[in-house]
Amino acid sequence: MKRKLIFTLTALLVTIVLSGCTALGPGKEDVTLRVAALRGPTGVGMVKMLEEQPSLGKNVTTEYQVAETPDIVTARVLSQEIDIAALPTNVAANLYNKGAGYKLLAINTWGNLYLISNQVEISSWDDLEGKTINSIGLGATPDLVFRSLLIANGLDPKKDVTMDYSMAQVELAGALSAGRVALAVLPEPLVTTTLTKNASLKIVMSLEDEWKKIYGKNIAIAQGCLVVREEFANSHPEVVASFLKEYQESLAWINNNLEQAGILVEKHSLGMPAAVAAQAIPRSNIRYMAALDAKSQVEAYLNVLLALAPQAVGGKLPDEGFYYKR
Amino acid sequence: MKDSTTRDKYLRPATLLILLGVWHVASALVNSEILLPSPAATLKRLGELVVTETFWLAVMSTLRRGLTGFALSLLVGLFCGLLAGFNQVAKVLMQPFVLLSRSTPLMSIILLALIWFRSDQVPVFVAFLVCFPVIFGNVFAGVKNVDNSLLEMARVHRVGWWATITGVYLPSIAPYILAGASTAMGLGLKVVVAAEALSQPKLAIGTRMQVERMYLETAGLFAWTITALFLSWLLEYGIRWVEKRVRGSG
Amino acid sequence: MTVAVQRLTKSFGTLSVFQDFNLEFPCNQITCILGPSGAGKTTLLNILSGLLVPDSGQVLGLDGEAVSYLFQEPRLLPWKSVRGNFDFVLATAYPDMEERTAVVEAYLKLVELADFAEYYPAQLSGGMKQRVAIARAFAYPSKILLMDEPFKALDMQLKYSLMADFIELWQEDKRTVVCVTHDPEEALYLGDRICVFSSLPARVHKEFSIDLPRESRKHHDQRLSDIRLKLLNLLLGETS
Repeated sequence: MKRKLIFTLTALLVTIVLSGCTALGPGKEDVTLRVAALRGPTGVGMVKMLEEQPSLGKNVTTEYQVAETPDIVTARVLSQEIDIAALPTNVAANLYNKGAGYKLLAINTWGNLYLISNQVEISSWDDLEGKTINSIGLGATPDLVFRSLLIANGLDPKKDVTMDYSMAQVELAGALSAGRVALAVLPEPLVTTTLTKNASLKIVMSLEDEWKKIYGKNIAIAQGCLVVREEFANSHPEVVASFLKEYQESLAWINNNLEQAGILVEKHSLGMPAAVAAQAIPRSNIRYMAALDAKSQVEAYLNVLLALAPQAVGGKLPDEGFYYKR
Repeated sequence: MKDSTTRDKYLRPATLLILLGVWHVASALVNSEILLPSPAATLKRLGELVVTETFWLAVMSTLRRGLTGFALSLLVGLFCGLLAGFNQVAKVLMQPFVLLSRSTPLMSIILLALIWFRSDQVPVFVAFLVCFPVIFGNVFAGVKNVDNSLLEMARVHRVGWWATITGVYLPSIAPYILAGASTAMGLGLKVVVAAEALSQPKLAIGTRMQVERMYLETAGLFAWTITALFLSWLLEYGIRWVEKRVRGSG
Repeated sequence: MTVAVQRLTKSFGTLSVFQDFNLEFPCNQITCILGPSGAGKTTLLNILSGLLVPDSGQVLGLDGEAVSYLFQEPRLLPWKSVRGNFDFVLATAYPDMEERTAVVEAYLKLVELADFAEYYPAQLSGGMKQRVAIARAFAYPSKILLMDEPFKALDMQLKYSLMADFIELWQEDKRTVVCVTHDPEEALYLGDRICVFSSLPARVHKEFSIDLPRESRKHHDQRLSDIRLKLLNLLLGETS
């Protein structure tokens, strides 16, 4: 009786464990492309593809996932669970420098960071002296860009202003709406979401504009990008090419069809209602530029970050191999 | 014939060397600084950190939080444990709180603390809540296990309640408290670092660990981990020293 | 006033230990209570000491005062020194430190442990520990000293040595002693009066008086042999 019990329990345990193992992958000819975007502009940029699920080739299955934060995408990149991923550009460079095996495919988001003020008059950088500015996360892109601009405009982030990182994204937006925070650096589409909630909030600075003032009209903030797993790109370059073609079309489409894009954004739960999305898209600077074409701007951007926080980029500029060649 | 204690003396550093060797080989095989940094890279990073002011400030802050939470749990645990040990009603009343603090998943405690407390206080609260049931349990067991024959002797001689508590109860409980303290201290530091990683106070080991992770500096993560381990060992050693002193006098 | 119990009744559940029990304990004498285990001897001591409350009846002659107690085990606090153990029980009786120290030293001298005041129980042998307990019992000011088989667990030589030490101390103040034992030899050596208990409910089955001075109480003395024989018959023979 006892032996039977043990046997049954063991069999049950084995069954449970084995059922966790996924079934054998697709057949030899089948290819699965695993794509990850972030709940933000990168996800928004991909929304047409999410909706239509275009075929990228014979026997090609595409799996899309939308992740909450760059951390999650980074983790999945490290475990090689994703083939094409949206990431902040500096994280992509860092990963490459550390040998993660992912190359830069394209830049998909340019500067979409804004300084929001709750009834505080800011007409120049000097007006920021002595103020407290909130930002999400020490070392995250908004923080790095903002601090480098502070320095470029003659202010010391450690002495002349107080940087407050105590609140995470959603909390900060809430605090700003509620009037508990006076100045904050936020990315789109959070900017639009927050502005709609509180009429006294204003955008006082576009960090992209400020950047161009310093570094030149033709140098934008190469903020977010798309990376591809090297092994996948080497074995299925045609799939990658198909993807990029569809992707470019999707990016162009959303910029030209704001209302419909908004509806799709809401439909695919990308974090905002249709009206907000339609408003946020233009300010989100979602534009496609292939890796090699963007190289000079990417390097300009990374160089600025290297001067401020070299660990954010991985200590050095990534070499030629970082940029995907078709 | 080699003395067994001599053998033990060589055994500990030998195991450490073997550990380092295995680590080195493993990291060479994996060959990815992000996944498994080499001992050399880790030690180099540790060397870089140790000379910075931030390092020592962070270590001191984490230590302070751990000790504060621990001290609070010791105080409250001692008081509640004694009360529950003497009084059945008190024990029944306290039971649900002790059970909650013991069984609630660590993450729940941390996440709730994030909502209730400032980033600097979160780790202290978490440490307190986690260590309290350990201290309580040990003190309670200590009270229940007090030698009844000694209590009888005290009672017969009409020794007052205060003298009985200080003369019989507390010394009997002392080894139980120390055992609990040792467990609690190790546990406390662990959860402090975990809570810090989430609440991210300005100066904290947990925060620095998160920063290293964000920059994909796994060697840095290892370096901070080693620092935390060393801190934990230091504290346990401290408690063992106290234990020896207390035991020596009795 | 003589210490005595009057109309003592005590039961534990359905077990009736004492039923309208009376017994007097003559002043300045050692009364030994002899009987098999479970005959209520310890219960009697606990009632005399105040650890147990009888169902009815009373304890006369003590006025609720504290008693000295010598247990079977030394019952020393292991984390206090010998002196510390004395301090623990004597603190209320001798609040003045100097006086207390003198008392402690005097009694330790009597049991020949004057040099061991700062030692801890763990550093002492079993016999030494029991000697400390004996000294402590006598140092504690009380009208009556209760003893619960204090020499039970000791080997023969140690037993007689300690009993001799005990008598030596007792000669100094001749306190009233109630000594419970199941060993007839102890009763014969220590007692001025031996009460043999019956089985429950407890009654004094038979009483014996011993007038012999203790120095003369050798184990081979003929006068003791008679009483011994009677005691053994009572204990081993009929149990009612």
